[in-house]
Amino acid sequence: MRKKIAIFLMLILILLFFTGCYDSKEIDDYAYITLMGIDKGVSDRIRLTLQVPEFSKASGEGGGSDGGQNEEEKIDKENFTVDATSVLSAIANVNANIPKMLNFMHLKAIVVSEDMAKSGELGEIVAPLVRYRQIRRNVNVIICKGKAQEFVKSARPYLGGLVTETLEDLIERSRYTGFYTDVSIGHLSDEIKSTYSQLLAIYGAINKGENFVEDGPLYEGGYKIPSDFYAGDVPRKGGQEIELLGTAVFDGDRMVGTLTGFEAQMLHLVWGDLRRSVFTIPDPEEPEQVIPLEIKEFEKPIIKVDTKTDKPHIEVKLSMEGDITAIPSRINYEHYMKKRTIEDVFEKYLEEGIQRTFKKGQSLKVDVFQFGTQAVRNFWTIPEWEEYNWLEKITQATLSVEVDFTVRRTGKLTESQPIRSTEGEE
Amino acid sequence: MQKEGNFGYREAISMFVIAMTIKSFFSSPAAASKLVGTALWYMILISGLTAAFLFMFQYLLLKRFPNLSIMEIADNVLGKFFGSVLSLLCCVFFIFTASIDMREFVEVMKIFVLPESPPSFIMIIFSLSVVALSFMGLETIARFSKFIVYVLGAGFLAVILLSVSNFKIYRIFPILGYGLDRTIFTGIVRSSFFGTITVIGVFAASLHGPREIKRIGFSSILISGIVTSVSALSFVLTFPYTTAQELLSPMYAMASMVDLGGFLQRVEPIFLFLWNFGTFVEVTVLFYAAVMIYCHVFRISDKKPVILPMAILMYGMSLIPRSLNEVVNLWVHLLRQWGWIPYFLPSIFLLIVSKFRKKKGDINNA
Repeated sequence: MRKKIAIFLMLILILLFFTGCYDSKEIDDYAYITLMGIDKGVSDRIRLTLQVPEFSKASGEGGGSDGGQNEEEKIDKENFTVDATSVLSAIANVNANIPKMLNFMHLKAIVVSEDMAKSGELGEIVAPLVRYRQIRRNVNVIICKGKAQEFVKSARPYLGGLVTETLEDLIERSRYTGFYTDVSIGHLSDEIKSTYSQLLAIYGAINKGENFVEDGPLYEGGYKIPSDFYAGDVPRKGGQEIELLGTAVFDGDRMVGTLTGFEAQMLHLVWGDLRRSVFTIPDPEEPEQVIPLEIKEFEKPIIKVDTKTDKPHIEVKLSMEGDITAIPSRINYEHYMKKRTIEDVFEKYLEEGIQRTFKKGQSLKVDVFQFGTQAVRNFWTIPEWEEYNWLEKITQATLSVEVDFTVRRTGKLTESQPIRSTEGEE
Repeated sequence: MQKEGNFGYREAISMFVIAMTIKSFFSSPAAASKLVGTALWYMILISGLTAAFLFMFQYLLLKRFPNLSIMEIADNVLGKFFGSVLSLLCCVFFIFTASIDMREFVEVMKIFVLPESPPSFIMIIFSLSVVALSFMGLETIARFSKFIVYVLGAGFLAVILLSVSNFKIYRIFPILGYGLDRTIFTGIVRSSFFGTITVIGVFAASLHGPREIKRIGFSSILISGIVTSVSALSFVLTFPYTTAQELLSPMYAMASMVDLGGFLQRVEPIFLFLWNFGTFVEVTVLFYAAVMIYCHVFRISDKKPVILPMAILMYGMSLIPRSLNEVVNLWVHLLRQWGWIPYFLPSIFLLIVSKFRKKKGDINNA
């Protein structure tokens, strides 16, 4: 009898376990949000735009690659915009109108409008999202020029694939170009409260090709620093509409300015995390020509911060190496004696670029190079460090930069022969 | 003499190491970070050293009374009545600690994994698992611990190594945190973090003599101290001290941030595995110790009929706190701040009284 009762109880327990737990849900029950845009609202506090791409049954396709449907209709169907008091109340409003439950587990990026960022509400509206269990700490944050709503709608997959893939690859690109900083919502939450450094976020915009001048008089101006633009200003046509270039800088949770793509490269060089990048410098002997260099770090940057005085002094020493990829002037810079000229010019180019970026940061009262992470090593305790107040002291700091650059290779050519024509040698 | 099962020092060390280190996967690191800041990782070592020092008194007591459990020693030294009172106080403390730990686990699970499941549902299933393992006896608990410790160790190492890309060395500075004096004081007070080692006194009769108890005790504290310190160090290197204090489960947050090459990501399930099994062992150890004490006091030879009622009691106690905040900010905080008293003081008290009353165990038992 006891055996029968025991078997009966075991069967009931097995049934209990087979029913699954309360939280089990089918994948199809959810509509996965890939991008979220936050603007200042008109009829309520915030305007939330959610992109919920339609994933087709074919593997690897989704979010815009279904050619049978009108593109405009598809964009409208996949992007919801709603005004609400908070993000969760906006979600609740949208959930009332669609058959599937919205879910943030595959959220790739949060796009915040520049207006919202400048208003200082980042800490009130965006940073608290890190508390929500569905939003992961490594969701990227992009500050966009103009409306986040337009940015989110313009984010489409590039060359097929998924929009999440496109964004992920685009953001990953910063390791090679250095044109912006890869920042997540976890970083955002850390940096706005940090005593070591301040928030630097990806700066994005929509570029529909308005800056590209199709016809007109040909360019006869001098050398221009490449990528010295803000997002949305690059004179290009075609390709992705969304453009990530430059860095939004924050003092606390208020956006106070932006750095161009070139200035963001300076940040990465000093941080020592730029893998390989291309810089183009003016030819020292023929200034109307340029010399493109492909450079990489030779040794980790050495940064020293002296905090003994009221005005901290910072020393940065960079050690780079690179290859000359073209010599349009055909001057024999490949020769070991002559290459020193290129090296000197590039060293000065970087020193000036870093100084310029540093001063810009100081004018915005932001430690753009995050030298605080080095300065803290001079302090033994947290109260001492906090009393020193590095974020205030950086505005008075002085910087000296030393760059050591060596040209290692000159590509597939070891010298340049002159061009010969009926007019003689060039 | 209550001897239960036959297991060696490896099984016992596994059991105690899991029971002690699992707490670092919950709210304790964040709470400690609030007190000591960047000095968290070596504050844990100070706690470990303090715990080892305090455990020494329990070892000396157990050496004085070879092969007797702490309850039997209490009866011997204080007499049956006062010995039972002291033992029952320890029983209540252990069951209370087990209930709070279970509740903390359930609340954290609700936040990160099972938001819609009622807490009671999770607690019932958890309690039933504890009951099932307890029914099997101490030897099974110990052998299960030895089996699972390798898996847990590998998972733990995996989470730490995968998180290396998120480490930033500057976050360890300023190296003295909020001050060395504060770090030392907090370290000494929070030696209760390693207090579970005192359960060795309850299981003493099942271990092979004072020499083995010494080996188990100090080895467990050493290994737990190193493991907890490593996890604290990784936590300090991942989160700046200003935000580290905010996190409910820093280790889970670390695991969720793993993203290597865009390919290896979302590895929290590894961590969930560590969490679940580790908490399961910890709660079972404390629960079974309470059952053993209770059965000794009331001279119950067969523990099985007592296990289910005690589990219901544990379940009921775990429902008392009204929210996660009450669990973390009140009860867990109290346990960490003052837990060293019920963990370590009874043994010190018994040692002093036994010396005063010139009580000693039978050396033939050694």
